Amino acid sequence: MTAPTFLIPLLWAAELKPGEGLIVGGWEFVWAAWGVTWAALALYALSLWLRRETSETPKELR
Amino acid sequence: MPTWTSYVLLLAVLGLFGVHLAVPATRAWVWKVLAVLGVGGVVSGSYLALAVAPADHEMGDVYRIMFAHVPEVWMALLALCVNFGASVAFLFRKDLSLDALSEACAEVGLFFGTIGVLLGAIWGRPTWGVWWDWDPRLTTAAIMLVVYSGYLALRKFVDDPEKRATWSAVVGIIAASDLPILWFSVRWWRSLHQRQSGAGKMDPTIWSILMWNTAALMALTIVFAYQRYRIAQATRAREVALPSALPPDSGDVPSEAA
Amino acid sequence: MKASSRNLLIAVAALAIAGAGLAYIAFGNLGENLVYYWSPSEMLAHGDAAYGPTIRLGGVVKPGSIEWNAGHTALSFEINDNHEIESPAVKVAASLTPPQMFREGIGVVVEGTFDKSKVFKTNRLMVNHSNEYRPPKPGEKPKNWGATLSDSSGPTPGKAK
Repeated sequence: MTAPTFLIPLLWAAELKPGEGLIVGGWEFVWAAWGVTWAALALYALSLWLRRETSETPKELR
Repeated sequence: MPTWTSYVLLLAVLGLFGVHLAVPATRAWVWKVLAVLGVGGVVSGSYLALAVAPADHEMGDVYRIMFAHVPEVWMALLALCVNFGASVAFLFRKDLSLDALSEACAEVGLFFGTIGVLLGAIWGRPTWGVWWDWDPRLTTAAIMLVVYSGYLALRKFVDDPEKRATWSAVVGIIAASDLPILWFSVRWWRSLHQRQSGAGKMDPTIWSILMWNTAALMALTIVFAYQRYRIAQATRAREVALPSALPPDSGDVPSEAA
Repeated sequence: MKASSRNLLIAVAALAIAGAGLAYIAFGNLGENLVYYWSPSEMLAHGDAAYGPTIRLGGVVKPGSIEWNAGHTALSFEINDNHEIESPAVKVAASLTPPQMFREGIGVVVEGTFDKSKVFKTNRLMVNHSNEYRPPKPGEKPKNWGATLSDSSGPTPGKAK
C-alpha cells in the first residue's frame, strides 16, 4: 500500500457537501465496533476461565 | 502486506488444530499455542485494520469495521455448522461427548454471531443511514440469534442428560436450516445488505488484512470451543456424580464417578 | 423399539424437516411473495393499489435529478429502475438529511407512501453500498463516480444478475 491514500478522505473533506457520495470521518463508529470486539472477546474468555473445570473432573472426560 | 503471510497464519492455525485432533497427547498444550496466536493475531490485526489498511474509495475509514464484522460472522457460521454436524452425529452414535461439542459450538457461534450482528448495525448507521432494517440478510441473522438462544435455553430446562442431548440435537438440526438461507439471502432476494465480496473485488492489501484477522479469530474460535467443550464435559461428570441425578432410594453416590 | 433405532428415526425426521423447509425457501416461489422492495416500474404497475400503504421503493438515483431546497432541509430526486437513465422513474420527496454516501447513480431504498400526486414521500432513506473495497485511484474524486462506478454499486431490480 502507499501511505498517502490514508489521508485522501481528509483532503477531500474540505470540498465535500452532504450527499456527495463519500463518507468522511466516522471514526467514532470504527472505534465503537472494534471496542465492542475487544471487550466481548475479553469478557467471553473471562467467563470461560471462571467456569473452567476443577480438579474433580475425571481424567477420562477431559 | 503480502497475502501469503496471512495464508501462513491461517495454515498454522489449521495445522495446529489438526495436531490437536489427531494426537490426543498434545491437547494439553496445543490450545495454548493457538491462544497466543489468536491474541497476537487480533492485536496485530487490529493495528493492520485501523492504521495500515488504505481508506476505501467510497466508505473512507468507516469500512474498517469490515475487518472485524466479516470474520466474526464467518466464525459464527463455522461454529454453528459444527453444531449441526455434532447434532447429526449424536443421533447416530449416541455419544454424549458429541452433545457436549454441540453445546460448546452453539454457545461460541451465538457469541460470534451476536457481536457480528452488533458490528453490522454499527457499520450500517454511517453507510446505509440506518442501524437496522428488516431486509432478508438481517432478518435471517436475527432468526439465527433467536433460535440458538432458544437452543441454549432448552438445554437449561431439561435435566435428564440423554433427553436433553436428543432434544437439542433435533433443535440443532432444524435450526441449522437458517444458516444456508442466511448465506444465500443476498443472492436469492433483493436486500439492503451487499452480496458477499471476495479476493477479486478487494484491493490485495485489504484482502490480506481480512485473511489475517480471519486466521486470528479462527484460532480464538478453536480455543473458545475447546474450553467450552471441557466445561460441558466437566458439568456432565458432576451431573452423573450428584445424588439428585440418581433414582430415589439408590443410596450412596457411586465412588467411581466422584 | 430400541433406543438406538429410535434415535435414528428422530435423526431422519429432523433432517427431513430441515431439508424440506430449506428446499421450500430456496426453490419455492417465496422470493416473489416476500419482496423487500418494489422497483419503480413494479410500483407503477400496481396503479391505484400502491396509493396509501407504507411501502419500500428501491432503485438507482437518477443522475441530474437531485434537488435541494435553499436551507438544505428538503431533498427531492428521482429513482430509476436501474442504471439506464431512460428506465422507469419515480420522483421522491425526502424530509431528511441523506447518508454521506448518497449521490447520483447509487442504489437506494426509501420507505414511505405514494399517492396520486405521483410523488413518493419518505422520511427513511437507505443507501446500498457495493461489495468492492479498494483505495481511490489516483485523481479519482467523488464527483466523477456517478460515471465510473455506475455498474458496480446498487441494486438492479428487474434484472437477474
